[in-house]
Amino acid sequence: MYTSKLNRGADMHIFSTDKFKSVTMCILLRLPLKRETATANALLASALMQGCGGYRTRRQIERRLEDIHSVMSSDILKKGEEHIIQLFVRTLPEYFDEAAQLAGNILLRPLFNNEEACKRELEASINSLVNDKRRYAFEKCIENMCENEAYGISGDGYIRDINSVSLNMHYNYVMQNAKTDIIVVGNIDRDRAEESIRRGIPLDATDASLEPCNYLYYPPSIKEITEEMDITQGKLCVGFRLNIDPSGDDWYKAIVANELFGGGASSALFNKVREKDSLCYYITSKLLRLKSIMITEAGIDSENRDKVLDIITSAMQELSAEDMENAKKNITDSLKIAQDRPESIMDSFLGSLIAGRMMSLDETIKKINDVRDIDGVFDDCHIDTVFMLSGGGTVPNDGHNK
Amino acid sequence: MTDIISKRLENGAMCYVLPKKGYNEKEVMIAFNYGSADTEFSDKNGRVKQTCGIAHFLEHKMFDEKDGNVFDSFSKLGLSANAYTDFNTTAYYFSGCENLEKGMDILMRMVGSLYLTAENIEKEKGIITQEINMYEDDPYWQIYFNTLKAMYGKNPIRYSIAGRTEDIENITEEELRKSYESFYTYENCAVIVCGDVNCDAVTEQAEKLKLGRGSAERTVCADDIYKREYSIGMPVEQSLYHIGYRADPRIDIKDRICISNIIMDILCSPSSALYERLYEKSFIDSSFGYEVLQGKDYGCTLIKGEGNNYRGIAEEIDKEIKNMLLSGIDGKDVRRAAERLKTRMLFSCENISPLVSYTADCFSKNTEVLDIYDNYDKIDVDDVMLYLKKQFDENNRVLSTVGKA
Repeated sequence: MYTSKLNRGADMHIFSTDKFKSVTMCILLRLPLKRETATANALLASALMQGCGGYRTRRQIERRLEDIHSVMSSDILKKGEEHIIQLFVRTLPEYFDEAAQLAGNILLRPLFNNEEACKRELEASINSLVNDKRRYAFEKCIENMCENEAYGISGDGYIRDINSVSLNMHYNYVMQNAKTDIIVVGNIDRDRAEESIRRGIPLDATDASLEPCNYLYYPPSIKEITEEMDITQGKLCVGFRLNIDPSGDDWYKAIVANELFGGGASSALFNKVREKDSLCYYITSKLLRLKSIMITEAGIDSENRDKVLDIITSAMQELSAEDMENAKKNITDSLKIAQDRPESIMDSFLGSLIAGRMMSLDETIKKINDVRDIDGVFDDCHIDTVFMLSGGGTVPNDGHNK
Repeated sequence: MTDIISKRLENGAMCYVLPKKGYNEKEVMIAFNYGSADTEFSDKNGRVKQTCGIAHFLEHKMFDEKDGNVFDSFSKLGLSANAYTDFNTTAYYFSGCENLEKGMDILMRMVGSLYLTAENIEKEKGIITQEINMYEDDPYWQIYFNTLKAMYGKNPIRYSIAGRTEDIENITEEELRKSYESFYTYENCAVIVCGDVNCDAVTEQAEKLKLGRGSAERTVCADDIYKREYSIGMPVEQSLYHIGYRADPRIDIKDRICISNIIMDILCSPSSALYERLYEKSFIDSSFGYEVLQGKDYGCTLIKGEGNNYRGIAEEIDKEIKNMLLSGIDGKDVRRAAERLKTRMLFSCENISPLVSYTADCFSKNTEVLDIYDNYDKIDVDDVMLYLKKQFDENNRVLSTVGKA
């Protein structure tokens, strides 16, 4: 990855490879995640492609994209305690210059034509979170777990704040305060990409500063929350505080331990809860690196909540390192496989930017392979929150005639 | 676009090699042209009607071996294995960076034998019940099958892939064996390998696959629309809607796929006049989109999204179609849509996993990825107009919704 300064507050990172036929670029406007700006950021992200200088409507932008064989989208990301407005572009190498120009136009000369429609759209999308029960339970678990930390703020924003946002005003605020990173991955010469970006996206300098995430937290007691909903399958979500420094060497131990615990089809949780006791279809655990949090998710019969929770806690205490070599191989392979997708190259690069620890793929693989044991990895780990989305009502178990 | 080397093996199975130079990941899939919709067929003993969900149940059982679970054998090689069942395909696959050859041996051994015991069948019922329950609560899944139910009175694609809990309760060893023997044969099998691989070595290895021969004859199902509207309530905040158009499955499948996509792109993609109008009225938002679903004896296009103004949307779509039929479509718009769809295909074929699944899907539908890609260039404005007139008729339309319970 080649990095070059665009100006004070903006960097570009170019990874040139002929492995792909296309070129992918993301422009990231990075801001601290705050309650006051969460909704406005989310709204701005969804309104960014409504029009711009030269292409005054969404439709004109889309027609232009067709002409230059490109796709573009804008969305909002929550990464650690950062809130990031992303403009994502995919194009063919011969159209990169045009695509960069259009992206620059959208970013620097936007027209917020349909502010009202955009507001209704955001409201609808916040409302539709509940349609996906698994994601809903996950978000609720995090919200409760981090209620006094920035990480507990919803990245999608809040319905009650929508109407008071002024897009033009907030746009100006973002352009003055965001730290910008542009990442390009694909079949394009480094110098050509750099030149196209400098010409097409002439950003103004900002004085942006982003605080690192706090990852230490010792829960005074376990928060147990149950929400009832008229559903057939309950969703259990358990949040652990690991208290392990995400940019220290012990983090690699945590990655290996998580893989053994609930990483995949050979993990302890999968074998105990699904294969041995037939209590679920899915059970996994994953790490939220920047907050040093581990989340275990399972879809179960609500009445089995306590049983499954017991298996989870005892599985953690009894976790064996017997399969460690396999787990390490799974992890290093997925790191390598991530290099086959432009989106995951960008995503892991962004993760390192935020964590403030840059490492090459080979170095990371070496760190994983250097893990000798998982002794004591969970010594400082505490359950913070147990969230259960529970099937309270009755749903007829009939797929044919509802 | 992307290289695809396809070859009929001497043993009768198809083999597709999808070279991806420089990629770390390799994926091997063994796919059978057999899915949830193949519950009715004839063999030498006459007509057979099987339980809904049998193909998916069998998929789960293929991972059991005498000495345990095949997942572990893959995992020991640093490979991760999985499988899926859809209407027409059951696919087993693994991916990883090394040990491709050993993994392929295990995969071939796995699909080449069936290990069933009363105990392992019972155990699976618990797991699959949880899987079915997960989908019971998923409004996107529910609306999808309600749309298909509304569109088809008899065709088994109207039933959920995993079946119902009360169906699978009664699945027996004998029925699973019947399903395996009828469809897990060379004639129904494709071996698909993707990544930075040696093509000759892979095809040579695939020759060693051991399967039965022949194939049961599937009952082709032709029927009428069951219901024009299908509405249910669920715990959702936003209503979900599908506006579906049935298509005549006797039309060549490549044409159905390409032309439906071109029509959708011109009619209601974000670059269309209709999209702009509906968006400005706040009838639609970014959840609005479409899906083209085409198979051997079924075919449809689904326009879908979230929001409460679905009747208004359906009306506007109808009006726009009538308008297009009246004033015609510009040939340039057809080319523009075709090019856009080809570019999107190229983008998605850069990733190994969608490319492999797409190849399997095409195999089960008797076509190939590159044939579809090339077919976009052959479609002209007259094809589009004719298809629009016949297939996007009001009489072919159903509306399905999930509202707040």
